[in-house]
Amino acid sequence: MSTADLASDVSRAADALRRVTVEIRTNRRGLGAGVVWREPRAIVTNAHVVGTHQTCAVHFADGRTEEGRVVRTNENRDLALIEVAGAGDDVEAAVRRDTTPLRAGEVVLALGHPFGMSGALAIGVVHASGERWIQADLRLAPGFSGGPLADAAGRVVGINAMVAHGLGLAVPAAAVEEFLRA
Amino acid sequence: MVSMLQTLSDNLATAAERVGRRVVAIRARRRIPSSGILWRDGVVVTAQHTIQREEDIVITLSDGTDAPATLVGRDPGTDLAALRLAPTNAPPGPLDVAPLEAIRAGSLVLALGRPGAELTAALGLVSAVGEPWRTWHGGRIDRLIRLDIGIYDGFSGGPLVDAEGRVLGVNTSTLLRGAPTAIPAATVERVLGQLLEHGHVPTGYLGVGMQTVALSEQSTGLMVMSVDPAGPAGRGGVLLGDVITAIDDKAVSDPADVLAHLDAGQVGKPARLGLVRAGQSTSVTVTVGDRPIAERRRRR
Repeated sequence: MSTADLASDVSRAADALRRVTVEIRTNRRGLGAGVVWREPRAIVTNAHVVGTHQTCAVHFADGRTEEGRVVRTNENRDLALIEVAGAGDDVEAAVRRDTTPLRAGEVVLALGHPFGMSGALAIGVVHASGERWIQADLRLAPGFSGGPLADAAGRVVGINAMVAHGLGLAVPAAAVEEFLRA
Repeated sequence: MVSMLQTLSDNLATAAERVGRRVVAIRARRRIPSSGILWRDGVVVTAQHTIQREEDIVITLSDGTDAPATLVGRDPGTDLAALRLAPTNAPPGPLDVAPLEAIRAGSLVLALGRPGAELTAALGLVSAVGEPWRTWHGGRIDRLIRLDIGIYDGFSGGPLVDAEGRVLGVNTSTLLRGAPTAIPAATVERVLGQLLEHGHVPTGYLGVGMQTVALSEQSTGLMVMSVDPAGPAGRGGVLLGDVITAIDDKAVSDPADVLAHLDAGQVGKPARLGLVRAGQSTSVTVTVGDRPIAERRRRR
């Protein structure tokens, strides 16, 4: 095994994440990310990405753009659910990690669209993992909001929401599930 | 097939978990606790600048239990402090320490902390490894370890750990003007031994204030500008206005030369000072003292 293997593992994981990550635009300037959470039509992002908009443009990794309808938001958890009417059945949903707890020091990946650059990758480690937030030691920028935080196997563990004291804060997948059930 | 990325991730998390059992939270300042390492059974090492009160110190162990701790001593020179806890029923066993040679530029490292109940981790690199150096507070450190890593709450006093789970040193953010660095384990062992034995790190002391003066066009010496009459030099007969030209036959032209000569090993030993007094060369022999506590406090 060599560092070249490590690099190809990272790019493979990034490619898999890119397929389940969308770009969300509410107007010409606003840009965030979202995750195809389940089926082809349910997309999860941050409430602050959609703001007060009822609709948004959802740009899929395969190049299609569909109109998304904001079904529900939770400002407190900074989550929003978007449904896309036209998306086909060939859109993959994100693979989520089971309930295995995150350990401090585990490698995590984030995918987003910082400063309009599509599908950019950030890599780091779990700083601390709580019920409310996953704190990740990685470098995020505006545009990562709403995108996936994933483990080393590419399984989604949370939705990136903000940066505080230099740490990336993500809403844990379990909290997303709870939001979708509500 | 398990990918190399997953293997790396597992190794890092396992290293964090293994060393994390020895990472404690120290409540000796307001607001957020600082981090420390259970270096030996009953002995915790931390960064001394995080210890802001010397009484009512409580340490939270990795299993969540609280234990009262007492300050054994601190060394502002190396920014290290030692605290004592009641020995535990389950001694932690010897610490897995990496040798100095294993600290290399480019190594992947974790900085662990416990600024509360939870263990925290940050990932980075050893960006440079330098020679032994002396901090601006006068402490001697066996290697300069410069880090490329994020500094978060609980960084100072926590361990620097490699991917194999070996401890490379103790992290601090104050010795390099705010840049992250680690004090190598070898330095920690040496300073810890002195703190446990003396409660401080003995530092050679003469009890004079000096200033560089020119003696001729070629040579300079150190003029004695103040003398502590009860100090080693004062008792040994050094007078105001004497110009010190050598210690133990080694020429000195800067106060730093004198400091370099007065390491811990010199305390209690005689030192022969070469002087120019009233134009005449002479010498006096003094017994090197240990820097008094008030002087150490002033330099903190």
